Amino acid sequence: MRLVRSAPLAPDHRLPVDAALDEAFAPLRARMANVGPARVRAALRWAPAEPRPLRGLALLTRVSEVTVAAAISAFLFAGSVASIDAVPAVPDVTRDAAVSAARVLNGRLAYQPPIDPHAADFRTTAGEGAANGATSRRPEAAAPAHTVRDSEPFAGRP
Amino acid sequence: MTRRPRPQGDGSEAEPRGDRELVHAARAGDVQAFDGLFYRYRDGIYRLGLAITKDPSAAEEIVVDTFARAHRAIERLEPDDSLRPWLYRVAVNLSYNRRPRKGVTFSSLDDGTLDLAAEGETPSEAAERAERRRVVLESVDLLGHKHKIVVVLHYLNGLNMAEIAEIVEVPIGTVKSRLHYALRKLRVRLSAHPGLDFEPAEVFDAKEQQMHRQVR
Repeated sequence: MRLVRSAPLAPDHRLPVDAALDEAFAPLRARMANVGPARVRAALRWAPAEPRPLRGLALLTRVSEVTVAAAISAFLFAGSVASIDAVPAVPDVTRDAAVSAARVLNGRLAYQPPIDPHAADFRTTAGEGAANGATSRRPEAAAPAHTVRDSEPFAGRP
Repeated sequence: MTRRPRPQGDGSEAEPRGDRELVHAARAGDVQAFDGLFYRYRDGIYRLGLAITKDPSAAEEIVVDTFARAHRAIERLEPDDSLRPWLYRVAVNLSYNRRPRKGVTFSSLDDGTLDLAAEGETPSEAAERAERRRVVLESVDLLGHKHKIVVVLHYLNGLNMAEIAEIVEVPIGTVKSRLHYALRKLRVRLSAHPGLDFEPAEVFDAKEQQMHRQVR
């Protein structure tokens, strides 16, 4: 612990140091900065304030931009909601039942519209078409009449 | 302790309004007011940054960064009289926090200073003066940063003790003490150089001891 403060430098000791420092800093003291306030603005990306009429015009422009943007957004939103309504989430069973009345069950246990007998099947080849035609024109053979009697349990068997 | 004369180009000659008025005008969007503040303190901050970093381009960046911060803080700034302490405090912090650029080394404060022979000065006298300046600036550079900043602000920027105290945020007594010890250290270092006409350190110490006894 220091009990006695050190004495200040005597003026005759201090002056040479003062003079030496003054002289040493003299060239540095003459230096000038080579920067302007534009560099500060560039660093801040700071534009000067616009005059009042231009500011009003800018505000009007901004309001109109926002209005157009809101209108377009509302139109797109309404369109997307309407398209969702067109496709029901739950299948309409009653409509399927109504349609099925007019349809027939095909071989895959699926309903299909009845085949129009007059419709041409373009998938078949010419030969198949002819064969189909011959088949359709063949007179139906009379089915053999089998009479089965209860007293003859095995009657009619080949 | 007397107030040192302000260096040229640090001043208020171009813009008649005070700092407080300029800050309020700049806050209202007056670009010229902000420019007025910039031109008023640009050179002082540049010299301060140059003295600490020893790099001219870094010193310019410190000027720009200091005023960029001032612009961001313009709503909060309420200078009583002068904006100088606030700006210099920011500049000191930026200078000490700045990392030196890679591959660029500056040996001493005297880098870039011009040592032209004055009128009526012989080349040998000019060389002697340049050498003396180099030794003094090297000695300043060897001081700790607390002592160095006080010396730089006082002898380079011409600030008084109250302003320095506000910048480094210590009491005035502490500033005086730091300057005193800084000058003592410089005195001892400079006396080790025979060409500088300083008394040897032993003589100086003996005189100081004698003065000390007289004070007691």
